[in-house]
Amino acid sequence: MKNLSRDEVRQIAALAKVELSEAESEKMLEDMNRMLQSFASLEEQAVPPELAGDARSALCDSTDHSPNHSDISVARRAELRDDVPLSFGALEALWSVFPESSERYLEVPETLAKSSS
Amino acid sequence: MDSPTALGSSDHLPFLPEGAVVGDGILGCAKRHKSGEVEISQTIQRVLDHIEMLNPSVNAVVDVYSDRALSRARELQALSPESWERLSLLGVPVLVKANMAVAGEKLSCASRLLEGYVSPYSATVVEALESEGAIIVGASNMDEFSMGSSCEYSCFGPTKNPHDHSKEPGGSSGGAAAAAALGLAPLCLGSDTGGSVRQPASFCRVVGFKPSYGSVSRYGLVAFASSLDQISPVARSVADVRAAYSVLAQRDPRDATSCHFDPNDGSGPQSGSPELAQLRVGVPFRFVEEHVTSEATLLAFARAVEQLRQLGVQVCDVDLSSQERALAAYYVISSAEASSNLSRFDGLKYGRRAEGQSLDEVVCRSRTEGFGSEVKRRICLGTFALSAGYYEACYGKAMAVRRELRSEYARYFADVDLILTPTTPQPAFSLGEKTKDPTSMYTNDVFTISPSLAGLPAISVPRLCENGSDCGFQLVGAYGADEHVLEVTQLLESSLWCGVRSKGGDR
Repeated sequence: MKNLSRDEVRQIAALAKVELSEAESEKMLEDMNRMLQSFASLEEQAVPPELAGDARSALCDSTDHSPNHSDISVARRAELRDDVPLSFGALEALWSVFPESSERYLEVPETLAKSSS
Repeated sequence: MDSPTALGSSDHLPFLPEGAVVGDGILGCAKRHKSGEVEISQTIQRVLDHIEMLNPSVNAVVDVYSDRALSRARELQALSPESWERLSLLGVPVLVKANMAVAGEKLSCASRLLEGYVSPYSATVVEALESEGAIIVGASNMDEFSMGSSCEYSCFGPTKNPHDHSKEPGGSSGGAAAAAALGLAPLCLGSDTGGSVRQPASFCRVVGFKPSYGSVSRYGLVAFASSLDQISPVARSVADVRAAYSVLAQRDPRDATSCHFDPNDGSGPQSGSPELAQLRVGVPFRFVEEHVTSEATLLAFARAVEQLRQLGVQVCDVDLSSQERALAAYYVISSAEASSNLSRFDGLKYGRRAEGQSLDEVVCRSRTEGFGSEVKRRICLGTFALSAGYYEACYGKAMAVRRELRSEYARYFADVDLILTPTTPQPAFSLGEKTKDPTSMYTNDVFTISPSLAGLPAISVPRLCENGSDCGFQLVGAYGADEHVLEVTQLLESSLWCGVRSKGGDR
């Protein structure tokens, strides 16, 4: 993995929402490059398709605008789909299959339940 | 020999102050309360007195919950003997790591960023222990947000190793291990992400057990790396750790990753007295030889393997080839998860808030002033690993290594019951020795991170090398085989880890 530059370290720090002084940037540059060099063992690791890429790179890198292209990520397909409001008939059909409501629509999750003290 | 400690010299554990609570272990302590031999308030007051007397020299405890503990002691004392019988940990004092929520008490994570923050709720493990009658007496020191291996990255100052004050106790749960070694409480809770309980347990010569991922609820534990963190008990004996685990291990609907392992469901090694002659222990000989840097540790390990053979245990070689890449994978994954988890600390909702002219300025300044250097380093590394263009090269590859490691372990556990390694490649190092070069600190985790990545149960038990330095051994079991690991380790504890008693026979 190539060494990071000073600018890249500053960009990373900005993304991470931390401010670094000049001296701290220098130290961070040195430390991160040392850490990245120690990660050389990962370079030969093969990545299976399901762990490859990410949603953002799929959005940025995809050049095929065909709505039916199977390689396009779900995110990309979402971007290409036109938003069409559902017809009244469609809404009726949807609600007709909605489960019968019980006395409460929502169970209060235990995380919101009163905690003992 | 190591230089003498403040309290003892060559014993496995420092001798205990007169009347120390921990001498009988957790269950012995509860038994004394149930029989009326000792009043609970007396026990708690004695513990508070010992903390006051001994803690200044090591800085293991950063917060003492005197009022809460004494009040709880009085409440428990007022219950009927019939009620006492139902409480398995009646009056047992417990220290929790400073990253676990206790309602109404400060939750600092040893960070300036959470200065003054008081938790409005208790962690599930705290509730579980208190429901069995245990009493939380205080919070133990740690590396800030659990990022560190030496307990030197704490805003409260470093913790010192009770056996040698010039050395670090290990980390990040260094305070818990040091407190257990000093006998400040019979049970301490730490959190283990890549070895943060096992490594300090080894350096402080106590027992530390990291359960299978999901077996102990993380609700109320401030997250470092959510797919790796596990709350882990630290104590002076395997029996104590086992007693604690039986209370802590439960499915918690408030933690979506928690699960329950039934030792009798037939899917794993069966509990019941294991026969040593039927036990198969795997040892990654080549990996151990390549990575142990201390001759004393290697010798002690070799002797231990020979002792196992003499006891009739079958020892065989295992070759976990993914372990070579596990260290890099761990630091990528844990830093990536940490950068995500710590994004919530922005000075807006809780904790320290800095001044600023804009929202962005307030957030940046709060984080800059609040976080220490190691936390910033890991956040930056994690941010880099998840950034566009590097995600696959870093995080994707690390996840692929993790998957391979899990498969390898699963294959080996079809043939062996446990895997044995040293806990650390070297004994405890001097304070300040490794803070200048983070990568040298990271290599300390080489044996502990693989079980963490695979979510496996792993326990560290202490042993002394011939030169008097510490040398912990780690036993790793199959996923969900926590009871089996504890049972076998307890069996081996008396026959294998011999010569480790402190003065007066106390553990």
